[in-house]
Amino acid sequence: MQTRINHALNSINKIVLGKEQQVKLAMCCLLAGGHLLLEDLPGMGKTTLAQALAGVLGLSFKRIQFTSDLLPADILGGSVFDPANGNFSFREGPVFCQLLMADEINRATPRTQSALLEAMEEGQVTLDGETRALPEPFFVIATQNPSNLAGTYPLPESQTDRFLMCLSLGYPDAGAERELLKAFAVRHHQQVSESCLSDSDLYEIRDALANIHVSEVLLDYVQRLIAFTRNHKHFREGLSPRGGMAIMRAASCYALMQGRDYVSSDDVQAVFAAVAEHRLQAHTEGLTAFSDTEQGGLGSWILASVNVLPGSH
Amino acid sequence: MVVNAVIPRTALIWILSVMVLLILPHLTRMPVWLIVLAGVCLTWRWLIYIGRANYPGRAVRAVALFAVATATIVQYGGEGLSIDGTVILLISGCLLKLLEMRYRRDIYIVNTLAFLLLMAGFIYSQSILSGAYNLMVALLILASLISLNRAPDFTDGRIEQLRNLRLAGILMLQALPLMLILFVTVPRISPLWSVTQPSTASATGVSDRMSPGEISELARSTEIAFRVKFTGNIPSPQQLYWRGLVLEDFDGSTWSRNYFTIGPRQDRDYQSDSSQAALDYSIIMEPTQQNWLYAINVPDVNQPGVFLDNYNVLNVSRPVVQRFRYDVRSYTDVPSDLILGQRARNRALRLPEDGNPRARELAQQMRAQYSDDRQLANAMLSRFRTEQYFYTLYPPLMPDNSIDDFLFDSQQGFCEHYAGALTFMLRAAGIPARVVVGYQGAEHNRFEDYLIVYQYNAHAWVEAWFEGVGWQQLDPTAWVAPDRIEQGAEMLMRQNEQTLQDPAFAMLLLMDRPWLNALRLRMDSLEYSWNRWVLSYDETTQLAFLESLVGASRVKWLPAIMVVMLVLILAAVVAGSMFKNRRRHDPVVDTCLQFMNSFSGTKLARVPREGAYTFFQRLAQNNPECRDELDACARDINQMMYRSSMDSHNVLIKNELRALSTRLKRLSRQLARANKQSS
Repeated sequence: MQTRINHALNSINKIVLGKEQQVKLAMCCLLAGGHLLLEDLPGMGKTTLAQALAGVLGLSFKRIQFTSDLLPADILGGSVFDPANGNFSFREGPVFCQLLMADEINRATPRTQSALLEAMEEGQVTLDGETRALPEPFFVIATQNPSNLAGTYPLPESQTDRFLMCLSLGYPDAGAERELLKAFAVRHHQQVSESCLSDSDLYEIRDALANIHVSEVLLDYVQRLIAFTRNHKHFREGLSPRGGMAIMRAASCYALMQGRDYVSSDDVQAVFAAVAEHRLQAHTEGLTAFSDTEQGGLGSWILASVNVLPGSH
Repeated sequence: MVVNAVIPRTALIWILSVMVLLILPHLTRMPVWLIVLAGVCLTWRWLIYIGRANYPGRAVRAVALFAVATATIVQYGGEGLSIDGTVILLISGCLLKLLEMRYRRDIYIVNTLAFLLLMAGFIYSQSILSGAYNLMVALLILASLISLNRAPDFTDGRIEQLRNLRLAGILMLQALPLMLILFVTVPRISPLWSVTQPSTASATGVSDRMSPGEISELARSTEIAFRVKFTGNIPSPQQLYWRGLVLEDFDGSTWSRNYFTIGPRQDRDYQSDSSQAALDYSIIMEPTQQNWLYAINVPDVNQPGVFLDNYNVLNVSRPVVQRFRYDVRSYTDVPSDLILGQRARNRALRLPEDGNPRARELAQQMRAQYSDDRQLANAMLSRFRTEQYFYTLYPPLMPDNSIDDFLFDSQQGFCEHYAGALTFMLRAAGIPARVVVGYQGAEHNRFEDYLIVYQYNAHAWVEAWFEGVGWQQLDPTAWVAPDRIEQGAEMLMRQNEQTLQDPAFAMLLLMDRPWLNALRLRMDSLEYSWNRWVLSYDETTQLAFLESLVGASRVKWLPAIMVVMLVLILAAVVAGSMFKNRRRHDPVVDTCLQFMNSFSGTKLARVPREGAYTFFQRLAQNNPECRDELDACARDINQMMYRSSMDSHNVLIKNELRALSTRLKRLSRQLARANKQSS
């Protein structure tokens, strides 16, 4: 299993250059059965990453480009009159797939955004009073442009909360960029040729997650992290219990990918920013406070402030 | 807590009703202006509550405060800091505060004042009834506090109030054991300063002067004078002469006590003689504001502050202002003052220069008839029976020469007339004599087997001194109205229609119904037990009780033991809360932290976000020569910390832990050596 996962990561890394950690987290997110939100400027490789992920996982992949005039029916599908036999038949929308890529999700209106909601949470779609199950497994990888760009409808908290992780790729480092520039002609729309993991592998991983050992010491640490977000004045509100559970799920999966059967504090630290940042909202004074002192975002500031092991430092 | 929040309406109802209940017992002591003030304040606050009136302005409040302060000072200021004045000031302050009661903060103040007022009530009455009343009021105050602090749940107001009451009751029940323990064990310390006692309690009972009509006045009262519990059998009614005072001075109409000749008794040799017939009993006396006690002759009391004077009267150093308990042993057969000094004899023979000539003449005549003193005395006593004398509570007034009028004209009188007249005649005949006042007889309460002495048992009799016998008790009443002595005072009054019309004696009529009488006696026995076990639980009884509990030799250790126990209990509570808040200590984490913290203060000190693994990696970067060992340690620590089940009883873990500990020690030595070399 470990080797297959590593092989999958390597295949993606050949396409998305110089982003090993982000790729690993994205993979971790999907293996943990969570939806992934990619947030970055246009042209940073969001779509490439999503396609690569779908490719290595061997999932049926569909993609919707969200625009401001997109309607729910465009995602979910609808009943269409068939003149040949004179009745309505249901035509499945793009949501009926295993991996849905919602490109630029915040360009659509809230009504359309929320059409994805039931699908993401329940794994099913209700149309014309009929509930249809989506294929298993079902993942959504959504990309969004930073919300301060023109023509965006920011996702409400209730919707961002449904994504297990939110990642941003950022500019590649100099070496990777040079590599990209060199091969611009070849690399255009490069696809993963072969899938490295199968559906059964995904189920196997999901079962294995349940057997990952979580010690009391680790739980203490996670609770300290959560308590910090709830008690510190910089945050408008703390992490929800769902947020806490998300941390545990992601950390367990990360530990599994590292080939361990127990979660350590390093796993938690690795996934924390990706899992927690988009669920937290800091006050402006808080934002300036930690961006002045710390490299990195809100998440790493929290990690730097909370003791891994009990006791004063 | 938001103190500036508006008062919940339910809490307001509570506090207003509590206020009314608190003021009620003081009503009789309150001056008229205060009653008016109470009415105005309560009504005004009620009107504010229902929205018909507004809060008084600053000017109104200032005027009210000034007026109340002036009224209190004018009425009570002359007495200095008296309890009455203070209580009145407290009540008026509470009432005025009601008008100011606008925010939560105010109602907390009023609540605290309510507790204070509750305690003030105990100054005036400590009976079991007022105790129960105050307990109920305390419950209501608690309920009002609870309603203040409880978020209203907007269901049903009545249910909510009942729930508050219930919680208050539960709280009080929980406090009960603590209260009992504190009551029994907390040392009784006498007050550090004394204040003027409530003036409303005037002197009651027998006074130190006796003029005609005074005792008969007293004898119309059904108040209780004292209660007596005998250790042995209760003696016959003829023996129950509760001696109070000896009155020696006579000015023609009034007998009074001679304060100048009183001194502690010197010869108390009879005490050691255990063969003497003795009565042992304990008396709980109602407050009299006087400083003498009652006892059967010849009393002996071994109690600090009580002494026996040369008239065989028990004196206390401070007036009896509260219920007072004392234990007496009376030697009934001991002769007293076999030798009478010349001064004492003169005092016991002294008569006014003139007045009452007919009595003097009669005494001289009888003196001529009988040469023996005792025969003479007997003749005088029997004269009361042979001649037509009447014993009555309502004798006619006799202004001048009262003894002559009584002896020869009206021939109607109460005990004080007989006692006064006999003493006068004895003195006129040359026999030393004196008047004794006190109580005679008692009612037996069969429920608790004790005696109740009422004010109507007040009595006066005579003591005459005979050669070879000493002072001897003579009771002319026993000759005139033997029923009075044998069957008790109430029997006598029952026969008199005039007495029965007196409202004070309604009780006597009640006694005709056996069940009512039983009820009355039961109530009294309850009150008696309350007095005996609760109110008279003072330093001495406390000590005795504790001695009986733990033994006399160990009782001196008790305060130390109590302090130690208190400290232990507090420590247990603190430890309990600390244990509750304490994190589960993980042995692996502890071992690891010990190692990591040894670097604190150096540049390698751990930072918050570092776990063991990251920390060890940083160490390895700094000390590349130990990298292998550090990496191995880090791996093992991570495994033990996050993988193994942290059951410290697990032998395997214990062994691993020990191994880790030694490894870390070795490692820190190694690192220290390496650092030294590099520097």
